[in-house]
Amino acid sequence: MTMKELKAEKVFPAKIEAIPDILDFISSHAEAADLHPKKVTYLLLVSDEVAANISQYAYEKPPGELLVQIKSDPDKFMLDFVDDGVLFDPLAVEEPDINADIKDRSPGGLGIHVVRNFVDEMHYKRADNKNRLSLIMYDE
Amino acid sequence: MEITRIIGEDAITIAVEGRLDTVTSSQLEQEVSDLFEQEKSNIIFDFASLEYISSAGLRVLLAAQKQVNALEAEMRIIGANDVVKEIFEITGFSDIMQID
Repeated sequence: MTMKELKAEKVFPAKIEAIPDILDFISSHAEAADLHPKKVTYLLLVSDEVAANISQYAYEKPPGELLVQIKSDPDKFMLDFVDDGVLFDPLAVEEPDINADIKDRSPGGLGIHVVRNFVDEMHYKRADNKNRLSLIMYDE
Repeated sequence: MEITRIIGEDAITIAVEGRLDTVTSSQLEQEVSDLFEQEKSNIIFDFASLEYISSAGLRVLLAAQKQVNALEAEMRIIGANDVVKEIFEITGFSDIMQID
């Protein structure tokens, strides 16, 4: 099934409290684009991770702003998160050791690991003092 | 997200409905902390109505498992759907927890 073409963007405060609104914005557009339901679930999962990271770490003096940009074409759904906080390249984050014994498992690094493994493409760019994280989900 | 607590003879079952994400996981954290305070250490998480779990929720489960291990008690996860099982596989949690 091909997806519908659409484009949307919205600015949110980069705060944990805004996450439900961010997820609603993303899921309503993903559903409108006819993205496969399983992929919509993956999209919400990774969006929660990204929005939480940005809210907690991007701004030294919170809250800052987070721009969410959506674009879909017949076979892929593109989601960009843009913030003007401190430089943060999620692709450079060290992978957690998922084979470690429970006593050696630390809570860190899981969020990025989840994002990496549930999106089809992930790109990061730093330009104009902004972080741009682009996630792409192919339709099923 | 809704949490239901069912008191059994050998274990307490915590059933979660909805999503365990950044905003909702603190609720689960509080629930688990209450159980440990009351010295109920055998826990069953019923995830039959759980849509997905993000790293915030995984951290709550990791802390719970470590505490359960220290108390030599038992923790199990039941009813997880395919997406939730996939999340457990990808993060290696399926190797450190009992997921039925």
